[in-house]
Amino acid sequence: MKIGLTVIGLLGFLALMGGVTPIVHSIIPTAEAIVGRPLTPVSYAGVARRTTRRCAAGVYC
Amino acid sequence: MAKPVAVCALALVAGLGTSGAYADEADAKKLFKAMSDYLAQTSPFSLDFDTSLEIVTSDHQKLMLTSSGTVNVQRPNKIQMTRHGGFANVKLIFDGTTLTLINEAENRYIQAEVPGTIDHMIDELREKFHKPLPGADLLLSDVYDQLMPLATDIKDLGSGVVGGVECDHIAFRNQDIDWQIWIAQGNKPYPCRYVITSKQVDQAPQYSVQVRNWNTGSEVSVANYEFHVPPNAEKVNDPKELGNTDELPNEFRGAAQ
Repeated sequence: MKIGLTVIGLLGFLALMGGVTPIVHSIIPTAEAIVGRPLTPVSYAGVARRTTRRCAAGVYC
Repeated sequence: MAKPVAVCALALVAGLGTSGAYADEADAKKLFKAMSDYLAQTSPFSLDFDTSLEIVTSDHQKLMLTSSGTVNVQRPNKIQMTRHGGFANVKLIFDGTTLTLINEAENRYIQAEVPGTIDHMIDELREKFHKPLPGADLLLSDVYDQLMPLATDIKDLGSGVVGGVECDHIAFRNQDIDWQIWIAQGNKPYPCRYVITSKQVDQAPQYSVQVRNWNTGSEVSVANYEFHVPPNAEKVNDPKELGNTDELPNEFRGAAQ
């Protein structure tokens, strides 16, 4: 009887607290997403293609 | 006097090099077909990926830009993707009707009605929006039929280990590019790694996608493919106003555009 009451008590406590807060695994919190800006200007002549299928003429792939 | 012998030796070596190519090719095709069939039949699936994109500067310096992301697919027509790189933080949601592309770093988004399958959406992204989805070759429902006809040479290179997983390694060539794929061994032949080499470009820059945490069925965390407008987000109607969503930052200036 005592153990049962303890369990109910604990569950009740958790429910009051709004449940368990999930742990967010992220290196950068989304609210402050930092987007890098290259400090060195770069002029590129070529880029690797990213699809095997060819894209329409004039469209960067 | 030694010349005729040298010529004979060369011919012998050349001959040896081409023999056995047919057996290799058949095996490679079989492996690739098995992967294609598995991908077409598997739903839902999810994965994490890492990409590296090489660019070559006008000074012939080869640089590599890296990103990571996630993909969650429910065939035939639902997909959710994220990509986080040094210059862009983007999310793509497609629920079978509406495509939403979100520039999370700058809090802007654009939507388009593209009713249909994932394959159709990928084609529209490329043709209409000029935003070809990198690595999207592997999201197609018929990878073998789309990619195999493009190959002029196929090599079975045995196996390699990618991210601790043993994967079969195949290399393909066509006129513009060479490409390689690593396919996981076992009963889940998913693509472990995918590399495209732009051999016609100075320094032959490569684009690479590496897959980890391949999950299927009940292992896949449920995605609702619904778009909820982030607080204070700005909706744009012209893709040019969306801002930097590419792995290649706008601040890098291309010579041939």
